[in-house]
Amino acid sequence: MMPAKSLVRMVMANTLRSPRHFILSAFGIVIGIGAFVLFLALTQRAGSVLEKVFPLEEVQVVAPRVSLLGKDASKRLDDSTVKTILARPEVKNAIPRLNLAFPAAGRGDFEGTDLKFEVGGFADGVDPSFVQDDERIRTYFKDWDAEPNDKNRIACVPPPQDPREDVIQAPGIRPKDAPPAPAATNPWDGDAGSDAAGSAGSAGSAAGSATAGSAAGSATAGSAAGSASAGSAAGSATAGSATAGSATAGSAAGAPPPPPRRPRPPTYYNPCPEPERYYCDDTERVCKHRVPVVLSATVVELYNNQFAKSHGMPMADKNLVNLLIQQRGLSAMRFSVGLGFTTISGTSAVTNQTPRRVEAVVVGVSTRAMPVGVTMPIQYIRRWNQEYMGPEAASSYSSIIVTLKDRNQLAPFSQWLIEQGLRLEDSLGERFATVIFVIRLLFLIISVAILVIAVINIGHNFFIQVSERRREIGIMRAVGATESDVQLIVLGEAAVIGVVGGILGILLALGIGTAWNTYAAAGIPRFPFKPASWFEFKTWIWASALVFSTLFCILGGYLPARRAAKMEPAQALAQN
Amino acid sequence: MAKAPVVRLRDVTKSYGVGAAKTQVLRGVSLDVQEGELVALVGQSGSGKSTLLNIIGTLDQPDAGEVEVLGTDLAKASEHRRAQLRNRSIGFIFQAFNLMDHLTCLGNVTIPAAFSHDARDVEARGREAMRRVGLSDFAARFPSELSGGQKQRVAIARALFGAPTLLLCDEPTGNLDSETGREVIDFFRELNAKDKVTLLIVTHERRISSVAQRVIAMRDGMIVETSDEALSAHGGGPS
Repeated sequence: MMPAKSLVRMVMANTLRSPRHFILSAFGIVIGIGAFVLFLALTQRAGSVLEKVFPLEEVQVVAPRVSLLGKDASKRLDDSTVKTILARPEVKNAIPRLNLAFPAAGRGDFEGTDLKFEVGGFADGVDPSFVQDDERIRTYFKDWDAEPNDKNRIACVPPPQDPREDVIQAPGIRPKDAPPAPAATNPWDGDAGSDAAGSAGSAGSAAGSATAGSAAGSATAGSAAGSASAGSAAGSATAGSATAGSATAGSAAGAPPPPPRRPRPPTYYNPCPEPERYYCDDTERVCKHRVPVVLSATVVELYNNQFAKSHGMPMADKNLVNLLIQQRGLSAMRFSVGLGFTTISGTSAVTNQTPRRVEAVVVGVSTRAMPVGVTMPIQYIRRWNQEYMGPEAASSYSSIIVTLKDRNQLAPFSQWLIEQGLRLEDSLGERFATVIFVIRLLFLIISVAILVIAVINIGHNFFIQVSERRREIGIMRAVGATESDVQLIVLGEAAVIGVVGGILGILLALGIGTAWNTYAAAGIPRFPFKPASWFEFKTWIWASALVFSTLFCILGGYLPARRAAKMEPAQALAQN
Repeated sequence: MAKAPVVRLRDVTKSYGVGAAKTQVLRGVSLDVQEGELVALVGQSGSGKSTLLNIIGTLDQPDAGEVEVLGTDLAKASEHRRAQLRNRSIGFIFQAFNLMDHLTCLGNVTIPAAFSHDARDVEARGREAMRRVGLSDFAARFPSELSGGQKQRVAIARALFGAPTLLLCDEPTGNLDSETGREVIDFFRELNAKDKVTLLIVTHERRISSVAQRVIAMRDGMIVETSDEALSAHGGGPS
């Protein structure tokens, strides 16, 4: 075989002296590889978005729904079920999820907007070890009530109740320039003094600064509530203008009517140490760590696309949530949860327990959060279900998340589940993944079809080229070229077309991708999970495009190269 | 013990085409060419001279018969060995020059080096070959810039690049005017005399016949006459 250096030099020289041939041959490859890269990058991105929407690493085991005379008669998923599943050889891990089994209502301030939302039915719990997305989540997502020696758990006076509000806004942190609280443990001043029960009653018009100084009775109270929901910042729950309570709360607490020129009462601030994370619990009257919750990317997207737009509220993508927490601390994402309350009237009769309020805080966005709702450490849900619905609700899991050692073992595991009277939850993600797989296959077929046409074109061009170079091939043979030397030279030229055509094809795809991204950023309306870039140009896509391009071109040049090699030198030289 | 001939042919036959279109080009040709000989191969067009030359030069293969060139039995030699012979030991000179138009003169002269692993002094050897044919100043020129005689001299320089022991020339003066043709013939004589290169020249040129030590005449694919006396008859020959 001829020396590699000579081969490269000859191939490059031949390529450079036939630009027309090169362009004609490379054109199809550029288009084919461009389509190949673009399609793969597009479907790759689609897959990534899909994985964001539907985490596909695990499967969810549920009990088939069975109802008997309107009562749920489904098989129970409990700790023994988890143990049985864990004993399966194909199972790597099994973690139960527990739904909140009774009504609960949430209320929180988001960027100056007073949000009220339903939590019952939209909350579940998982073991904290399962939720490990980032450092903040790893630090805060745990059962704080189980901490044995929490020095911050000290006595405190909770904020006043509002008879017109099931759940009040989570009070804010005392600003530095605010007047000092009368007592460290009793920031709630007001007319009720240190008696919290009294204060709750007397602070009838708790929400809303508009109540201040108004002595207009119940009419004022109404306006007070209105202003509160109109978005006065967190912590606006004013203390003690007992005015509004004159008809309602006032009578409940037996407080005397206020003097006409009573000074504006001080605002209630969170009195707890580390108020970022701790709040004063209404029931226990001690400072407790807020219940840590995580949201799914789906919730954030739903908020952005359905809620924020229609309610004129600020957008909050995942990064914004993190940004807010970073800039303003965890308290930026705090909210109150009224256990036993509901925003849906007529549905609160499932439990006879006295409603109460706890505070929660969003500690991050997690792939492990329930798709629509909030997820918290399972211990909280277990205790609350026990408190409000009894022991069965505390131990009946809604589903069990199973991680298999190998996804290929899904079929036998699924069969075993059916035998146990259980099943895998229908996964929309799996269906979408199948659709994307089919689309990717379709795109690949189109790309390969273009490449095959390009290969035929290359073969045709090389046949012409070889025919035109008969004499040259004869000369090379006459001065010592072997058949394989001639074949290598032709294949080398084909490979150069493949490499250069591949690179140009990749650049074409990148150009089209960038142009489309630029257009789509402004020209296509926002929709859930709209990506910033529509294409994911992974290294493996580029590499495989180059390999394919080169291989296809070599394939196209093979027959002409073989013909050139088999050419009798005497005949090649005779045709002059 | 007598030295083995540089070329040894025995009963070589060759035909082209099949069926009714089959043409017998060589019909049992036997021939020996000794080292240092200058042999002229003459005959009318279609008599099989060029085919015989191509078979000796391993550019073509016989249908039957034995061909031994420079001690190598071509029937048994591998494709690689035959290419090696063409690259190192056999030089070709054609009537149509057969230069590569996209290469410079020096590039054409050194093209055999592209297929050889002997990469020593390629340019120097190329320039030396060009000097020998009197084209030292034409190294950077392209063939399209040269006259017919100059082109043939570049082709001769290419043939000499590998310092061959056997030079096969197919109508080397066919496309040249008589003056240039005479210069080429003189060069061949000198090459044969000084460098002891064996030359086998297919020609119609009477002058070449006159300087050849042996003239072999062919007709209808057969050797019809071998004249060892041609040299003395025409008063030429190596000096």
